[in-house]
Amino acid sequence: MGVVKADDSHHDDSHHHELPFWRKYIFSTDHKIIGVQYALASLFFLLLGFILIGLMRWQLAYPGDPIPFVGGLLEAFLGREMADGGVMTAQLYNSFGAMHGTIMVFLAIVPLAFGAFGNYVVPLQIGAPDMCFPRINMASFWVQFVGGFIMVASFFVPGGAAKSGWTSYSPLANIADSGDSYMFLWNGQTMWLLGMVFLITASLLGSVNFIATIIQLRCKGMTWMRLPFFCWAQFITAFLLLLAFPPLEAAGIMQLVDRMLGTSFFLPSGLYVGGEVMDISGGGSPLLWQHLFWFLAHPEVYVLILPAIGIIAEVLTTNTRKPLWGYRLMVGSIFVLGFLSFIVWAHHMYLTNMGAWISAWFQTTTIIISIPSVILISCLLISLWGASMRFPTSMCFATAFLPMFGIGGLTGIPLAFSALDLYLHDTYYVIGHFHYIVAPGTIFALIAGIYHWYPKVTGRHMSEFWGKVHFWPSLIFMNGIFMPMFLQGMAGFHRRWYDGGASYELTDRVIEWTQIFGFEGITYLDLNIVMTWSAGFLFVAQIPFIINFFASIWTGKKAKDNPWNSTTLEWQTPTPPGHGNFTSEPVVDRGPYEYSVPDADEDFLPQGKVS
Amino acid sequence: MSEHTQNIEHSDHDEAHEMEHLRKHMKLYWGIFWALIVFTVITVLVSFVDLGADGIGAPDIVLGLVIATIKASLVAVFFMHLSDEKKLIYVILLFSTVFVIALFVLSIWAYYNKIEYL
Amino acid sequence: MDVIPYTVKPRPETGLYNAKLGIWLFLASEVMLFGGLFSAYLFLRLGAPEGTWPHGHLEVLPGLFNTAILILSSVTVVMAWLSVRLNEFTKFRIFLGITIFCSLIFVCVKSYEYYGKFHHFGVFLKQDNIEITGHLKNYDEYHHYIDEKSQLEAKRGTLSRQIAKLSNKIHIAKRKDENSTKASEFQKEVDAKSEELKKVNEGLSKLKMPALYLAPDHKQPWHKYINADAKYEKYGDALLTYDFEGVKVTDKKVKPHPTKITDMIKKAMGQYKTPEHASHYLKIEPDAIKRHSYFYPKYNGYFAIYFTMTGLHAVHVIGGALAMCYFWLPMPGGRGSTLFKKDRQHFANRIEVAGLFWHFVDLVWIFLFPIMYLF
Repeated sequence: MGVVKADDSHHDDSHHHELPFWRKYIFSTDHKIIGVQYALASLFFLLLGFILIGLMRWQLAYPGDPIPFVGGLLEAFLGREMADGGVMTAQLYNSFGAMHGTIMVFLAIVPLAFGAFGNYVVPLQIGAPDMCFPRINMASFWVQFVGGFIMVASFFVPGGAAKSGWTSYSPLANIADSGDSYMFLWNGQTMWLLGMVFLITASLLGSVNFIATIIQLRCKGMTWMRLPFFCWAQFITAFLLLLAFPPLEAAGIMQLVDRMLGTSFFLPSGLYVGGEVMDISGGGSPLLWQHLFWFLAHPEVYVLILPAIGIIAEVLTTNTRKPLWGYRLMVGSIFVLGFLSFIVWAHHMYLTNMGAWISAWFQTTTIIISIPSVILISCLLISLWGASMRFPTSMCFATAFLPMFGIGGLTGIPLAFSALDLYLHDTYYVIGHFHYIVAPGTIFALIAGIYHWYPKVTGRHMSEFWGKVHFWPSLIFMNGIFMPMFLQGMAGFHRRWYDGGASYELTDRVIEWTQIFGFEGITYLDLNIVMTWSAGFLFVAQIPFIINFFASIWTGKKAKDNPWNSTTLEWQTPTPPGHGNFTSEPVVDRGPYEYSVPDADEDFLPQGKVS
Repeated sequence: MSEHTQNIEHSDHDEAHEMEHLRKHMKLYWGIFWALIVFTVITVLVSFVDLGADGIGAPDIVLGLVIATIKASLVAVFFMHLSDEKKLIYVILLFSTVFVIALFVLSIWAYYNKIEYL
Repeated sequence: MDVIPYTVKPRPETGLYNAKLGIWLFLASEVMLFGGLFSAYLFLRLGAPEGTWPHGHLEVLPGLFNTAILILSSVTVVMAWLSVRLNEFTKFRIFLGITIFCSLIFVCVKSYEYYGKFHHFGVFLKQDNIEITGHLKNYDEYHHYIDEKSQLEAKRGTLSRQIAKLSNKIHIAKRKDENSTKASEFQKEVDAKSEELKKVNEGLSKLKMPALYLAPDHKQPWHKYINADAKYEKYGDALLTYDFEGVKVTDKKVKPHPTKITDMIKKAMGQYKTPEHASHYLKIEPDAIKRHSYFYPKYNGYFAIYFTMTGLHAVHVIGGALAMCYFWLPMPGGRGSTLFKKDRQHFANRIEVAGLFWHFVDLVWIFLFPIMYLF
């Protein structure tokens, strides 16, 4: 390998003899195995998070009705105080809401986009034998696993899982789940904090590894401007995780200390709880939690979306047979995006009595950050121009991503202005906005990535027919869930009502939204039913995917090494790639997206040569 | 391993030169050590002197933090040999410094800039 | 192709070997971690009521000593690295040994300081939130009360959890069959538990906090230099004679607290006022007390951030020391210091990386010392 070669005979990685099963597939240091481990774990959590919200949606549409099929199970496992006779209680609703957010963000989408795709694809695309620090990579997954385990276990402790929202705002989160009927350590909120400390640590280990790998292990000829866009996206994502997560770790530790040792980092003086002044020293600041939380959580939004855009760039170029339009512009944009994402966080906090000057700062930076986002999506759209497109399932999801992400992005612009945000902030409008980015946006991109790279990982294709059966209902019902949220939100529906607004007198009097179109029929309250059934059908639409995903491992059509005729390096390896990835040292001599080059023999020129 | 040995043979006379260089460093490091001790003692003395104003912006606090920053710079520049480091490291540290400062400045700004209700 | 390149030699383009880039990235994130905690310090300090940010609660001398120890260990770890590069194994082991020893001393001194704080007691009076600190004299009586109270509360918690569980069972059993025998069995159990709970509650209400006897420390909070005058104006002579509601100075003399060197320095600089009655017991009636606690993290905002930050720092010290122990001990198979002989450059890299982490730990302490101990 090149001029410099490490003497690593004491490293376990260079041992050529067969490793025992548990070293090869469980405590493996191979980035591909770790990537698959991440993928399976996070797909499980994606399903779990979806089921949680499905149950909540039932309560929103039919408040007080026992949940069909699983109501009895909930009562049996979580207790009567949580699901009395199969009816979702307010406690359980809060708990599921908080855990839906936590699981989706920290245990499903980030690990899938960053941990799974990043781990599997990045070293292959840059021509590296493995990640820079394989053992740290393994540690990262297992620390993440422990964090996930704690989160799941917290459902079954007395009082149930955390109930203070995924944002875990103090002072609510400080006093929640404490008192006589809760245990000191094994209560929802404390376990949530413990789990978060593990998850954050895992992310930090992962991000150090990613940055070091992309900087140090690019193969010969892989200059920065020949890096596939997916790697650029992962690179910036890793930086966001590296620098934005530690303040939340600090905050998490402080809230843990608050809960366990009785300090008041986030509790103001003279706090009344249950008609009594709390026995605390006070002097803390609830706003401090919000600052530290959103200092992470805004960059986290870009952690959710950047790898998705990276996947889309790969899938689009492969299937349009065209170079990525404005590659350099896009790279520049994600740099600006990454930088700006650190100084816009308090636009989540306009409701906290912010003064004119500071709110002007955050409004300005928030609007500026929309520029690189628009550049990104414009470049992707222009890449479609004049292409002769193929439409495998991955491409279907990728093209669907573009308008969905567009809707999510554009509906965010009103929220950047504090005057509008004050009205919209606690309504379903905000829910609709960010779910358009994350659900039909990022998750579609991730599914596109699964269909795209599945042949490389398993050596077999997923079924195209069942893929299409998966795609179309998913697209329709995703919109069925989230589009009505904008309507409800603008009508003023609060996003934390646990009965969807049924018991609030004023919600009945909100005009029927169909009156806008001149006919009567569906009220805003009825939209809850539309959304709930959409969620149900969306769940049904995932069943072919789940079956397809597992069955294709054995029954799928055998795949060639480069089934999509792609240019990037991961397709030049044997399928599935063996230990060490490349049979010989790859050498790169051109850019990543050389499709339809005039005068070339084929319509694509592989980025590098691997014998 | 072979390449490594080659490398050592190749730079045999460089090695002697470098050793001399390294020995010089040793003296420098002990010098820094004494400078750090002296600065620490100065900080302690400053804390006992009443420089007037109170509160978080008091001159003795500012002076103490300036001295602490000087000490930290000495450690970073010499012990962590940032004086002679690669550009990449500077870039990484620049970003984390900028973002820490952003966290401080913006959150404190938000702390002071509030809407006053009558 | 399954050997990871640049683990020993630097990549020509960046001039860095992998681990060095890795540790700097890690340190960049550590900067953000401690940055978050420092911003918490700032918020707590700004939010603290005027004049109450504790000052002089800590002995400066141990802090100063620890600072010097950490600086020394920082030098020796650099020296250890140089010794590896100069191919001097014995010197390397001596220098790294000193570093490890220094970290041990640091942790010991820190524990001693923590121990001291955990035995310091403070009371906030209902009247104007006046704070009196000192050493608790009726230790046994107080602890008997605290233990009994926490035991009863824990019992109350367990009982109410059990009762809630049982009544759920009753409810579910009755849903199936209104006259189920199981339900009545459960009901009997609930009745027994409820009786027990009633007793516990009675016990709790009967439990009375004893009056606290404090031997005042030399350093009363109101003699701290910040805002001492303003406080004096507000409370007048009451401040010096402890003439507050529910507080009584007893006649019994107590041996004065031994004078410490830092006290002497402060005295010499005219900033230290010895209260007239510092050598008396104070009897503080429970009714007058708003809050009472040892100097635990929960005592006030200052101790919260002090224990959190120094605790996290101490975790870093211990982690760094463990890593250095690994490099110091010779281990078979080219691990630990055996690597010195096998691949000196690789070993030098490892020591450099461990050293970088160690310097960072020192660097954090350089900021912690003034903001926690001095200002």
